Amino acid sequence: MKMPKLSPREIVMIVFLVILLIAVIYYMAFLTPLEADIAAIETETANLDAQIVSYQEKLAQMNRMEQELKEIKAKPEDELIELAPYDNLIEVVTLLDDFLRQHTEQYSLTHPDPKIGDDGTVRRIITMQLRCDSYDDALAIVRDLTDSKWRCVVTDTELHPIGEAEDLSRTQVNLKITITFYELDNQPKQ
Amino acid sequence: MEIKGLSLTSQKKETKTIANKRTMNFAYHKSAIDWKRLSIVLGIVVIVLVLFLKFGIVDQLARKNAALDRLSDCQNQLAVINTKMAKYNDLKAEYDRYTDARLNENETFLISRVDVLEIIEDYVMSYGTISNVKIRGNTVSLTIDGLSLEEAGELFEEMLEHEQVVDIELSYANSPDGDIATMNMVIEMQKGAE
Repeated sequence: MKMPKLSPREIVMIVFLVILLIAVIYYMAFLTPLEADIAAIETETANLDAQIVSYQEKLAQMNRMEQELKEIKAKPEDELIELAPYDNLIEVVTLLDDFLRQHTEQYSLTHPDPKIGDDGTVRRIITMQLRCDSYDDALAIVRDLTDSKWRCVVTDTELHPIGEAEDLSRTQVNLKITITFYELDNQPKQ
Repeated sequence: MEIKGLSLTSQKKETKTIANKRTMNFAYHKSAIDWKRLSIVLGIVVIVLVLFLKFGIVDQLARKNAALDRLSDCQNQLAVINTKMAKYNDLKAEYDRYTDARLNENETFLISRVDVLEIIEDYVMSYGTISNVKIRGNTVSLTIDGLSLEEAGELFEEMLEHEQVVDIELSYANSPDGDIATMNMVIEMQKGAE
């Protein structure tokens, strides 16, 4: 079959349509998937970048922690203060009993159930009332408790002179303190 | 008259064609390909094709490769960091064990009771008689006797100069002879530099 001869106008139309077809195929089959790929790659890169920034902060924190630990561990063994594992009640009570017997003959201790935080930090709050020979003695007790082996914080503190005397510096002192011992529960409730 | 099988005259007709064209056509068939025009069109097509390949294909693929390279760099960097981070949990556990990291903000900024009692001993005891000491949070309440107004002022000035003292509130009752009968002192303190 012989092809009919096309007029120049028809040829231009056909060429235009062919170019349009190529452009559509290029756009649909090449450019759009490529742009989608690049967008996906860039999103992943941005996520990784954010992760890297947060990890770099953690790395800086790690360096600080390492440095701090190095300084702490350079101290003599008996000066190290530790966060005890839960449940350390017996150790704490034994420590306080030994310690208080050295300083006073009369004391009372109350220790309600510890408070266990969501992060596993256990706060064992102990209230003590004891009779000290002097203000300096009371100060020594607070200092020794603060520096005890297990990590703790002395919170509420009250000092009153005992008996008729009204001067804390010249008489026996009644010391009432609240002390929080910290422990770590390795299986915190979520 | 026509006798069967015999014909007196021949009836056979002859058709003769006589050429009647008086001119001769010497036009020959020219080739359909216009090489000059074709080479221009081909040149344009090649240029368009090259430009299309350069900007439409190669550059676009290069963009994708550059993005992949950046991703690969990030992945490598992250792998190195992850290797370093592997010991994070152990280090954090060790750090928590030997530092006060597990304390909350209020507990961390609580002034040391030893510091408070030492400040009271160093500053207040030389001025008067302390009959009561109460420490709650970073607030210290004292009841002091036997202090003149002048001494109370001196003590106030002296204590305010201490770096751990933030604010002092005084309330007192004056006795007829000029001495303060009882002075209540509320001191707001802050944790000092370690």
